[in-house]
Amino acid sequence: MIIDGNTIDSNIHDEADICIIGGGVAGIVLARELKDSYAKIIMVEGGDEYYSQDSQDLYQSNKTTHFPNTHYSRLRFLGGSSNHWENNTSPFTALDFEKREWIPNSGWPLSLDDIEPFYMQAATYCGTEPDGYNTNYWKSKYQQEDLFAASGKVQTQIAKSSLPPVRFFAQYGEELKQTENILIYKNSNLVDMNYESGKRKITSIIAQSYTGKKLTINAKVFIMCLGGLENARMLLHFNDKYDNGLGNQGGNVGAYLMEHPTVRAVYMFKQEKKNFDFYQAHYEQSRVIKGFLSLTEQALRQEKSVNLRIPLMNASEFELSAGISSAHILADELSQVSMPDDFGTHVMNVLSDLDMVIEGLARKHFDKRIFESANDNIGFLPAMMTEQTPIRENCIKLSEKKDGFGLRLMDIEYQITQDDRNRIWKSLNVLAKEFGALGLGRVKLNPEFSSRIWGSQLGFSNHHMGTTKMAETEKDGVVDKNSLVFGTSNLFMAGSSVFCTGSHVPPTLTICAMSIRLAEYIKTEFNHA
Amino acid sequence: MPRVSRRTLIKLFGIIPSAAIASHFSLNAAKYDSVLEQAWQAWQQNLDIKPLPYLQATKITNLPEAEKQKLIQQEFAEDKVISVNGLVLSYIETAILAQLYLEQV
Repeated sequence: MIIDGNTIDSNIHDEADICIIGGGVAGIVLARELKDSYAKIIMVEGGDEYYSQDSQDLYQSNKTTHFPNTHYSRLRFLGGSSNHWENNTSPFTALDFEKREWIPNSGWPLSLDDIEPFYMQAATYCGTEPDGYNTNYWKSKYQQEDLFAASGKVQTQIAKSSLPPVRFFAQYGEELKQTENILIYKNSNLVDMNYESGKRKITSIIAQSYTGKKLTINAKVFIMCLGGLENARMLLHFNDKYDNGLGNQGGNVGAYLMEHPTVRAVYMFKQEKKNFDFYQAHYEQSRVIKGFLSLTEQALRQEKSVNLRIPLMNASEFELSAGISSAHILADELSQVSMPDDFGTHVMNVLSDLDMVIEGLARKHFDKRIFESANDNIGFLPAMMTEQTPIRENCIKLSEKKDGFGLRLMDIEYQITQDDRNRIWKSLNVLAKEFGALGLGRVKLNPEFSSRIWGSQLGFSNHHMGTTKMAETEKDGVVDKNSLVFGTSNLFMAGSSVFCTGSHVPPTLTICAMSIRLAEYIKTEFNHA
Repeated sequence: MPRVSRRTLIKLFGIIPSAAIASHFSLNAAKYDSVLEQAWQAWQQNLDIKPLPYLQATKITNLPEAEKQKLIQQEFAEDKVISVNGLVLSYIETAILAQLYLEQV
């Protein structure tokens, strides 16, 4: 059943076994996984069943320069950000969970073995089917060559996505609405939480509608599934009220924010005779499968570096023109009456690549094409998703500004450190050498374009992770290995906010797998109805 | 100053994968000349030996094409690489370009 918080006549008091706060990917998976084990589950969702401006406006924030605008990077209605995701899925690797000495603050209190049993079921949720991500399996199925099979340093991994992308509430919402023991309150925003410190228990939460009606919910178990940023923002509010007793004993709530910065930092020129078809999209009835490149565990250990998700995106001679990039940099700098670094290199790039620069001017200003060869597909220009080191300084804090419910908005402090940039270059150097060693072509690293790579061309994946990170103790994190908030016995966090590191692949498959695992744990620890 | 075309280079040595460095070796001679000069500078910054003796030591010019490719790939695997304006090339490749530059000037 679903009830609109905006249409109730008076304040309501309700009770449940489980209260799920947030109806995005994690919340929906948890509701489905728990529904057969408890007499009553309540889901509280701040948005509606579709986009509404009232709800979306609560996602405003103050942020540092390059971080994606949080007003648009997430969606605040049932189904959450699955309503605009691309549905790209790949599992994390074993190394992602390990403490790596060269990655500060890395290491989970879990291993891949703890998550792996849930990945296939998670893939079903994501619409990518439970037939796995094994490279050899897909190579055989499509009778394609894995060009990196002989490499010890670069490997082929598999990405799968559903066609069309699975919008979680569109896919599973009707079933949830029809389930007798699930009650969804929509347009009901979490505004308060009551905590008995002596018993270490959350006793109730309060949600408020846009019409001002209040809903108080008592439950045995509360699970916050508000997303990678909002989980931390709300927990910061409640820690203000309860003297940092809710997972903030070590001051970790909101810290260690991670994204997947997406960089275009190399040109890959391919050897004409090689067949790269395995790395292009293979369409099936309702999904797409394709290979992408990443570094092997051996290479990462040896180089002490971070991993990259390297999709081989076809590029023409025009797109791989160093002259055009240099022309942009020169124009940008000269318009500000300043001199770029590597001035001589940029001038030389423009002069020696004048044909493509002329092609670019003709296309931009006269809508004309001059050189046929400009369209020749000669290689790849990968937009690479990169793993980011979790650092304490990347964080969300409560702002002085307030939202429509009088709750403080968030300030986001975020940077990509020079150490991370250096590690990315190091990994790309491995890729360049391996490409040559396998006779596949040559790679050009473009450090002279750094101002663009880390500036106007820098992309983000809208993956927000790490702000309520998992740890062995409250000194190092916010939740324990079962996602239970330190200092409480019945408040859990779900979603990518609990991630300790972000890997180099999209998080949603792992969010689903960890939500299924959390449901299993809750069923074990809390009596069934 | 004589211009050295891409075709000449490949004819002489037969070892540069043409498409692999297409952006540097297509269409215009200015680009080509600049790469040669950059290769020479990069070579000097990385190795004490001159390019020609290095090439003679590898005996690469006497090898069949497949063997040449194998030798270059082996250099990549052994980390014998040099960045020529960001383009990661093997010692042999860089030596050829650097030698061509020296012959031009």
